[in-house]
Amino acid sequence: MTSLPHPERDLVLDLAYGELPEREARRLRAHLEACADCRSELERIEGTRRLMSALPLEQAPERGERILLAAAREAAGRARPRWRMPGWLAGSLALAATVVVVTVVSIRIARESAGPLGAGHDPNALLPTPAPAEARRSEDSFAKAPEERAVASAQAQPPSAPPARPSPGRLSAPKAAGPRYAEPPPAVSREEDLARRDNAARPHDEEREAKASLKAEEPGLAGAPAGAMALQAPASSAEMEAPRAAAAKRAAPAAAGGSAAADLARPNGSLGPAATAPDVRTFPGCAGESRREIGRDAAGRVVRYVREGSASGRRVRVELAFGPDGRLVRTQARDLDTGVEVPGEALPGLPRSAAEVDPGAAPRCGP
Amino acid sequence: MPVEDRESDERLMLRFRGGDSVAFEVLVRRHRTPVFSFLVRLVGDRGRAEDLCQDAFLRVVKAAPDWEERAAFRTWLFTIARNLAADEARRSVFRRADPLDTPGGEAVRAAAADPLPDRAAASAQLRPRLEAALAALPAEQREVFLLREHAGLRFAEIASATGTPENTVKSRMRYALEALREKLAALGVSADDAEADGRSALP
Repeated sequence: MTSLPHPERDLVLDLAYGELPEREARRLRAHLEACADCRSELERIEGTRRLMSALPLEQAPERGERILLAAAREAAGRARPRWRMPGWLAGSLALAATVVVVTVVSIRIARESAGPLGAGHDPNALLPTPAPAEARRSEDSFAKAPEERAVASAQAQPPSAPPARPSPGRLSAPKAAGPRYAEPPPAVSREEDLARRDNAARPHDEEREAKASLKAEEPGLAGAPAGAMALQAPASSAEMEAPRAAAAKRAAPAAAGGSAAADLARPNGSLGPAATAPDVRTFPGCAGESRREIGRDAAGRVVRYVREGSASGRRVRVELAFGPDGRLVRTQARDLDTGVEVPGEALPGLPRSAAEVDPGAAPRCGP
Repeated sequence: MPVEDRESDERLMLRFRGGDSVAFEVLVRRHRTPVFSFLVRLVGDRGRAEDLCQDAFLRVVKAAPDWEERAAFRTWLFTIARNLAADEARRSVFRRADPLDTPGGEAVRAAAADPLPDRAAASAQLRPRLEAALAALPAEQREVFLLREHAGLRFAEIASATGTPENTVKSRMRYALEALREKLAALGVSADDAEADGRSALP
């Protein structure tokens, strides 16, 4: 066995497990005829596999199945009527918003340019004008003095153009996160309740419950299998930005906190994003740790840890990111009120690796 | 045989994503025992394996809305199960700071305490011998062995599931097979016992 160099022994292993491409397999088999060492290596592998194959499967306990099926029925029931804003609807809403903005702007312009009397109440001015070009044309129909017209179009252009652009963005961007985020958490079904009670004795119960309610809140954030398959590969930035932004919005309603959170929401390409809905816990009345969020990738590894709490009189949000090997790869801490970056160790007792992340740990309520 | 039983895992997953819970039922019936079996032997504790197995399938339920057919379901499922087990092991090691409390710790200690059987009894006690040999493997070798033999993952898939280079995976597999062979020999299990069992692991 020791006489064989490594690459060859890997080839023998590949052959034994049928992972060698046919051509290479043929070549190796020809080599085996001549090489007693390789032959005996293969025989040893096959003999051990034969022995170990006598080991039967351990039957999974009955009761777990019922719980899973109940959870699945509940999820399937939610999947069917689940409403996603389709692209065309988002598009037409954006268009509608544009029309409204343009109309309002052109009405205002019509009033101003028509002078104190008459045209302000001109029924023409109230006609909906669906596009800026048309708005300008309708102003022209008032046949004002050229310089007045120039003023009117100067006023018309800036307000109508910019609001028109952001609004489709604002409407279509939350297409993924918005409606789902807005979904109210459904009432706990009898089955799920049963499932939870079944696990009542387990330490994970609380965690599961948190996950279950999160699932309801952000069902679309559950691990993308594509991400899971790539295992190390982060999900697309669109996939990760939406949930984080949503979480950030929830976490930091204050403007400053919001912008800090928005910064954190920017994906870092090298990091595995939290592909499943994060495990969020809040500790009301606990100053040192008011909120804890643990994000896992689709394969279940802890990749993100967020804690918010007060330390030395300021409210801080610390975000840690872990690599697939569990090592800490990034630390970011910000003052929630000012949005200013603060030292990473702003909060005491932060985990130094994914292994130290304990979803069930008691909150650190001290100063 | 119901139609569902012949459908691929991936097709079933797509149906479940579409709101068909029967499809998930088929997946659960098909994979729960293999996953549980894998976890029991990986962590060496039935209770923990049961919890982890449930967690793994609940994750599947949760991830279903975003499931796409390009992923191989079985590989994905076992990767989830493996990572949950690894996470939990890391956490419990950290919490208790007990180096003995690694996956399979109990089983390894139990196996070490086992007396050597005489050859006549060996055949009748084949299964406990095999379990003991497996439990005696270092965790990272046992993990690779189980993912390959029980979960049927290819070496490249095991590499990505465990975040380990493929040649390391193969080394671990070779060490595992060699250690099993030696351990089984020490426990008095010979090739004859396997022949008597009349089964072959080879495809």
